[in-house]
Amino acid sequence: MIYVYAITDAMEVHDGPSGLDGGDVQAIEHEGIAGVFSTHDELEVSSDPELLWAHERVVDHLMDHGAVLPLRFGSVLRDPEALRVILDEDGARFRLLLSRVRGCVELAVRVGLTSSEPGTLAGGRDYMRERLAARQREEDAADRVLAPLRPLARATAHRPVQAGNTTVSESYLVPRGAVEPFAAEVRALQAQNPGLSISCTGPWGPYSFVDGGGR
Amino acid sequence: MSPHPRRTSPGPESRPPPRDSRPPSARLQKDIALIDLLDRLLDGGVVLAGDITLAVADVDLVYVGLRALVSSVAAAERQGVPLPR
Repeated sequence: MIYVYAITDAMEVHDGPSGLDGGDVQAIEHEGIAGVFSTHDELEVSSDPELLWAHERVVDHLMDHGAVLPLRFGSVLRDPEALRVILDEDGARFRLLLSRVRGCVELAVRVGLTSSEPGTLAGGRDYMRERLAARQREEDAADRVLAPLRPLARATAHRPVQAGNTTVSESYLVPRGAVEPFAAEVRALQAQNPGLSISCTGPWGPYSFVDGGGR
Repeated sequence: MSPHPRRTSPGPESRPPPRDSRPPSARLQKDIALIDLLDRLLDGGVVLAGDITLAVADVDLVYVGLRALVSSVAAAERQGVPLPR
């Protein structure tokens, strides 16, 4: 079987990092785009950070050479021929997505929410209502804090806050040349909002900007 | 905490350093980078037609652990107490 990392228009994958489980990274090209993969007799995919970083390192290297559509972690196909068929059948969609992310990287920004716990339980219903309202106020505040970042990005993806999550998270598709100004703006926002905990990581592959309508 | 790039210069070596005696803030940065990595690799990215995406084990536990850590560190910072280690 093959483990697939990305679709790219970069035709240069040699001298890059090895893939999952030390696998050799190869590419199969079809009409100007390539699928990048490694071949494995057996592969156990877990959330081991080392495996996740191995996937991202391959994507990261490709991004130095062209536009890249990172695949979801754990994408496995039977063989390179199956990948070639997909490149053929979905080529138009991949080219459109590649044109959208070309020249850009993804940056992730997280704003820590102050998890407010009401001290008294007047009643289950009031408690829940107050909790939800407080939660909404926190999210609105985080939303306002992040507003100055959006004009610096070509696109923004808001990640819905999930239960148990203590941060608001947004992804930004930023032209490579704008990464430093973006980071400077994040630092300025942190300075202006000392009560919030703001983090910024990246550059990542454009994982949050390759949702091109269905599979 | 301060915003920080996952790495500062292009290069294939973006692997986080192994567990070591770095200060808690550096560990926290590494853990936040790991959460952002999980969010992207497991929830984003292209899904191929005909893909037989492998089930990834243990993800929920990892998430819960990391989020609890981030939450507790944020709380500790608000109260101005040293980070537990």
